[in-house]
Amino acid sequence: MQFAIDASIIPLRRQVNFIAELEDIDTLVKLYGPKLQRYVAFSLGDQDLAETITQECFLKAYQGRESFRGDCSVNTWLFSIANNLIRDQLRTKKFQFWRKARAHSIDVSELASFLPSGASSPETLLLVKEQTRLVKEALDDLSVNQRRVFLLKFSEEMDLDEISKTLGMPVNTVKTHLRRAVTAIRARLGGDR
Amino acid sequence: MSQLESKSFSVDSSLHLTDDQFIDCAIGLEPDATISQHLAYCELCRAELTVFGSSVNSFNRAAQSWSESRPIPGLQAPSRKQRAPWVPRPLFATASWALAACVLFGTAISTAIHRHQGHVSPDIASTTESQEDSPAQIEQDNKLLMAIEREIRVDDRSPAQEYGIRTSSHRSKGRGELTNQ
Repeated sequence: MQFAIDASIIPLRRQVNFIAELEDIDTLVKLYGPKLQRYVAFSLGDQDLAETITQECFLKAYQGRESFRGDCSVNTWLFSIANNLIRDQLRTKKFQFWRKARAHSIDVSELASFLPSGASSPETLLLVKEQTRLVKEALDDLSVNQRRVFLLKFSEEMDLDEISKTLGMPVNTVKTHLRRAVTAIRARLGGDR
Repeated sequence: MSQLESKSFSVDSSLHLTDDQFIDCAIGLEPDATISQHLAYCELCRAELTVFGSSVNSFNRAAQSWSESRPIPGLQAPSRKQRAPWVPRPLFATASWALAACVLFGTAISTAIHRHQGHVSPDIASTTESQEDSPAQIEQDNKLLMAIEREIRVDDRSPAQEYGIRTSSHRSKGRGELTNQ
């Protein structure tokens, strides 16, 4: 017995699910808030700005939820909005000033203290903290684009096409940024030859 | 990586992964057979990839915990405020409509009453207005005010005068000056 499946039904159902997901802003924030905030914070290196942009991102997503067609995942869509906001922010003179001042940058030692100690030995924990510090420092020295590509790849585990869509960048450009970022972090970790 | 290992890299660099190959492995691109074979026996390259992966993982975990510890401020208020328009709330909606209807009804009644009264009053109002502004009326008002002032002057005796107490000349003079004005 065979069933003829109308292909248009599936995207429609997906879209309905997405819209339902977008309706509940509290759940949306709970699900994606920390991820988005992490991404924005380490892309810009500014924790206060990250809070503002994350908040604005959710508000924009909520206001524009009816325009969301479900072509990509909610995750990718939210990150695209966040990237637009980051791009807008990078253009402002105010941001350039604060970037120079680095008044609100995330403290490396503070970050390392967030590592769960678990059952690790003090030596292992020390090593892990050191590795975290090195990655953070290497990230700080990257360009914003390299940093964003690196974070989307390694923190958000997006594939190259998804990163390309999220950032509105050609895949080859994404690859170039990623290669440079990996090379820099590898060098910082002491593994370059 | 120790100095000894670094030396072995520099000596046998051709035997290890190239930078591009390392990056391909690090970013999770499908390694070709040569790379897979190399990784199977080269402990150094494997270790370097492991260190890279674990360092990035540590950073991710720390960054995630850091982010989770930080609140996303002010989302509750705007979200509730914006959710309101289409969410049906029967009791609240009924009460609002009833209140709006009452206000409209009250406004309509008061307007009707005002119009009914206004039908007669405009003439009176214009007459009063024209009378108030006429020179004759002004003259009459001035006379009335002067008469009131005279009455006040007569009655306005100080307690000292009332009880027959002598006051200083300076004071009387001042009072006289004021009266003459």
